[in-house]
Amino acid sequence: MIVAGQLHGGIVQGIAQALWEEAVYDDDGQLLNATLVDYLVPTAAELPNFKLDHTVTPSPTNSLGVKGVGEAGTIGSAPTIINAVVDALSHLGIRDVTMPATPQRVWKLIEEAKAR
Amino acid sequence: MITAPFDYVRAESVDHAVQLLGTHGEDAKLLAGGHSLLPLMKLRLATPSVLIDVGRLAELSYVRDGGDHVAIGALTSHHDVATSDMVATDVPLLRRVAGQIGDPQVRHLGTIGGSIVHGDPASDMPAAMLALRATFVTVGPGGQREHSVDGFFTGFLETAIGADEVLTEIRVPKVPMAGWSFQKFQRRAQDWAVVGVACVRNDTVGIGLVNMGSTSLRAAAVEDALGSGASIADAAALADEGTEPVDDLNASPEYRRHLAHVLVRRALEEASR
Repeated sequence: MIVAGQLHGGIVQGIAQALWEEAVYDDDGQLLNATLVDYLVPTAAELPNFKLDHTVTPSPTNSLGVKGVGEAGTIGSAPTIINAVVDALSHLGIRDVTMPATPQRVWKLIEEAKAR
Repeated sequence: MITAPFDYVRAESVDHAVQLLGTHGEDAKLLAGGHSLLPLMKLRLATPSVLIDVGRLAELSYVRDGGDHVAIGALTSHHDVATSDMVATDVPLLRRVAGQIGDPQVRHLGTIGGSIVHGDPASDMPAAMLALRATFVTVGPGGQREHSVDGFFTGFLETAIGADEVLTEIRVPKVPMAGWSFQKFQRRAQDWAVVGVACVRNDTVGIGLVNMGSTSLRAAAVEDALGSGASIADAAALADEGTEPVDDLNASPEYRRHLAHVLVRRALEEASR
């Protein structure tokens, strides 16, 4: 239960970085989204259910055989999402999308690709 | 996040509220559910000197059969609008719009009248009123007035209601057989719309736009084009005509215009099925 919950949270942090979370500054260095109204963190409504699986290989370096697991989800989820977005846009010649891949950012990329 | 100092009085009736508005002048604000006004006060974007609480006037919380329209008391909560059988049957668009505002806590405290007189172009309810061609009833020292929704939203957070008037009733024409659609583009489920579209279509069409200018707007060019026999695709291409969408962190004006085209087309397609 603890491991599953840790993974859920970790996966969500990665997805959030890929699609929502961004500190936006103006030219004078003023943070423009300093509250949680503007700085978007996803809620349960934005997210799917997760199906988790594990490879169980005890660690040889400690007597309990335990390993850390908390951020395992974060490491994989952000590139997974961004790679999927890039793949969906690849027929337009797009090879990179800056995180977070906001709707406006993706729309702009498509418009620019069409204009080329 | 703490409000400026203010005084508080509770109105015991609509007439008492009108009288209190007359006594306290333009610095007074009516408090209903408080879910638009209080956040503004906490940010000190609003600093009324007196709050006149009309929130407990149970006489203004109702959904009644008005014959050709549904009559809704101004203090009816979004929850009560969304769960009314009459609204579901006769104005299904309104049920959808009221049922997706904020979250359950907000819908139990926020009121339909409060949302309308707040006049926020990013709110969904004013655009739904435009699509449905609602009429608003106000009471002031000179008695009762009726306002068409057209011309009611006069500027950013400004309406045609007088400083000494109270909105008492919203009259929404019944459209039980009409097609309808509500399209809301948002970053997260409980966010304000980046752009929204409310649409009703029977022999005529009504389209209200959320967040496409300093007020909620009617997509008049689209309505006219459809009236002249234009296709949905051609009419939807006029969705941003006469709009002045804002630039913010979610969307540039250009992106909002694009969203309006797409969402109006989707709304018309859904409402025409």
